[in-house]
Amino acid sequence: MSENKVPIVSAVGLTKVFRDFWNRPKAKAVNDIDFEINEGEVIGLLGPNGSGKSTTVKMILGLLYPSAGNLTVFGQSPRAVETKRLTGYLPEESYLYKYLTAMETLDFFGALFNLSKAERRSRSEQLLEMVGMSHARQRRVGEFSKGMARRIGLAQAMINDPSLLILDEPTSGLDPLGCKEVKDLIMMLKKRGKTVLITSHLLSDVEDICDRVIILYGGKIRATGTLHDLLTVTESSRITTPLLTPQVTDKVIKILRENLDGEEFKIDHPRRTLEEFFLDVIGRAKAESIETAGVVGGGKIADYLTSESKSSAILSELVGREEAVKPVKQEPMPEHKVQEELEKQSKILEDLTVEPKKMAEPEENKITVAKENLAKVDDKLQDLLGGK
Amino acid sequence: MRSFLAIVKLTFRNAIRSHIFQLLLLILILSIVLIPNNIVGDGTARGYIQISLKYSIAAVAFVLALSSVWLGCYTMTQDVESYQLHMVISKPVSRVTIWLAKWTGINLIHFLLLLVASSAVYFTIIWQFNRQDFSKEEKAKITNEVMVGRRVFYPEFPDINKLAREALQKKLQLTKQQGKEIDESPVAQERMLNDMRREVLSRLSEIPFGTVRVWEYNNLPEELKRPLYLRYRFYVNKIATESQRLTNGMWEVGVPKLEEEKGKNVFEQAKLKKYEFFLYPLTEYPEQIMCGVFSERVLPPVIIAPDGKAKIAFTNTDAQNASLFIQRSDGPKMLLRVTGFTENYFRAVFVICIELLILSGLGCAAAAVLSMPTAVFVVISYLLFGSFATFMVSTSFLGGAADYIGYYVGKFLLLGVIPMQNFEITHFVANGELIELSLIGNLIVSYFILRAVPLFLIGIWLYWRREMGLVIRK
Repeated sequence: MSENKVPIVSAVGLTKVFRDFWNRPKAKAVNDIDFEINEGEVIGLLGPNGSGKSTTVKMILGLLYPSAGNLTVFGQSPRAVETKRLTGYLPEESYLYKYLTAMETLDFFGALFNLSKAERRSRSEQLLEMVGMSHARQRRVGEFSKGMARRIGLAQAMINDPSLLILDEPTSGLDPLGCKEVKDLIMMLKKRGKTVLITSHLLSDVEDICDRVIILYGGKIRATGTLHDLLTVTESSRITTPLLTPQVTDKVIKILRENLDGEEFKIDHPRRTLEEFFLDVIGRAKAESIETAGVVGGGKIADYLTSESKSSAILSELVGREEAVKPVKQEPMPEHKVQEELEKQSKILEDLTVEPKKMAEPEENKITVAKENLAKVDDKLQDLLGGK
Repeated sequence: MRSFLAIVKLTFRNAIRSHIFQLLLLILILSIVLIPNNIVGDGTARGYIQISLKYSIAAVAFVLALSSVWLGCYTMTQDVESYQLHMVISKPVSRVTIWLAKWTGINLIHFLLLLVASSAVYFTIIWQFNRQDFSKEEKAKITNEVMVGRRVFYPEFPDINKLAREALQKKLQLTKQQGKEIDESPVAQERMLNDMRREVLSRLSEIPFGTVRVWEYNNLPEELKRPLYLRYRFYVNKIATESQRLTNGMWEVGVPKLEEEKGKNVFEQAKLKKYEFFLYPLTEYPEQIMCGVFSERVLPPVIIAPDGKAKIAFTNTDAQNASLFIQRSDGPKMLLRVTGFTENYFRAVFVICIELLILSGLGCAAAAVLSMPTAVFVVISYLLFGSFATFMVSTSFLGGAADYIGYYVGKFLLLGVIPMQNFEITHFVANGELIELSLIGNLIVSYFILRAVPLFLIGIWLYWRREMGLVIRK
């Protein structure tokens, strides 16, 4: 990795003061902030209303000019035309031309990038397919719901395969399916080495996809760093296990009580997120081919967006490509067999909870084998519990 | 170029969606259809065609001028205030390109409408000319005098100020000789001079009974083979359209003859070459002339001297011994056919195009930084200042301090504002007068290049540096 890489966005002492007609300062929206966005990062820009997020984004886009400090995008002024060739922008609301159809909208924005007619057509088709709006290509944007317009907005932000994608509330107005598709898209872009800047109030969405976050309040950066660094609660531990029998649970509790010396602890069942559950339900409904008049879930990601650039292709070769693990469909087991499996695993766990003793080699071998078995069983259990 | 054309196309589509534009388009269509078919005219065939032509073109020009200003302001402000422009300027398109593309889109739509409307008027006039039950003489008159493009030559006009000063000197001398007191203060002197100017002008426009008035013309084409036309309008007793009647008069033309001047050599001889004119009557007896309306007669081309000069004279032989009056703008002017009706008509259309370019550009320039209503107000005010300035500067008589202030303010304003009435060319077409290429060139250079383009550039510059993120969304 080169140490002298130029950051995609660099802000030093960035300040924005809004003034009135008489040039008197009215409000300091952004107050002397420093930050960098490097290539390939997904950055979340967070903050309550009025914290300066939108102002910062508008300065990056050249819609507002800094009152003080230095701001560069791709090493140039944000107002430079060439900077915008590499940038894609999805605003908070879809400021599209209501009388244009979906296809015409993408064609227009593609023309602004000087794409040829054939290229515009090809990309527009792929993008509409990607955002699940192919069936509405000839409908006017003014007739769309908010979510549908948002999808078109996202499509136009991607028309030029941008290196820097700025998304202002990207999941606003989208159903959970749409939210997942947007998140998948962002992850795909990240894999391709693209840089994404997201502002959002939906912290769960940000948590799922961002590498780093910048939290603004009152125009100042209050916290910045990777999610891992910011969110890890180092004062607590968490252990996740397969379902424990009551006896094992009691033993675990006893150990914890003995060792924690009166400190509070909690044992409960982990929860899926509502989003995961929702997606699961919809996935099953799709599998049953239930009709819908609304948005059809997005299709595959546009080819021109998934094709790797030269540099990222070399990197992929070096580190090896990841392949998606295809889930293996299993037949559900009968009830008595499930109970047998559970008891077997509980036994293994029970052994693990016993204080470690100095073991002879044969015993050590046994434990090693048991651990390997446990790993296999864990996988199997996941499938079983999922099938229930 | 693709981005430029994409914005032009979008502007075109956006423009035709504006309700005000649709209303103006309806008015335009109604004007084209209703005016030519409802004109009554002045009872003459020529008058019918003239008025039909003049009003139709004037209506088309007026409606499109309004539309240009409106759309110029609307197109620029609408997507700024709706934030749609944010989506465009976050793309690699310079703001200069956006401004120019929008301006081009507006002009394209207006040029298209102008072409269609002017063509409709043109063919309607031709159709009416052919359809109406005009006599052969009337048709010939219309063909020669209206449906043509003729170059106008005005007679040489004396220096009014010089004549007024001379007259004032004489009057002062006479007054002194008579022993009367004279107020020699500058204000009184200026007032007397203005009175003298009015007197001189009045004298120059009057032809008392029994007197001969001579007019000289310069810069006429030499070796002309085609006939010339003399166009004039007399008034009897007073300059007013009512109470006019037939009068009598005699026209004479000057036939040029080379004066024999002996020089030292051939070259000197050529330099001293001068022509004298011998006046010959065009008719044996005084002819009857209708006062209050324009009249024309044909003149032979031989009256033009090789140096491009000509001379004509008129003798007032009115039966009632009344004075005749002729205004400076009424001639007598010599007319020479240069082009046909079609070319002259579409020269007029071209002038309207320049006018629309200027108006749409002013609208776009103002709307680059201002809101919609403010931009319209600023443009209309600018145009009104131009009209005011022209009016103040054209005043022949300056009475008091207010007049002087208005005059000099008008002069100053005319350095920058564009008087749109100078684009009013319908009277040329209606009277069969040629719209000179020099006039068109002057309009382009003086008004479009020297005045309008700097304003456009200011508008573009302000648009370029405007913080679009500061606009409050509507």
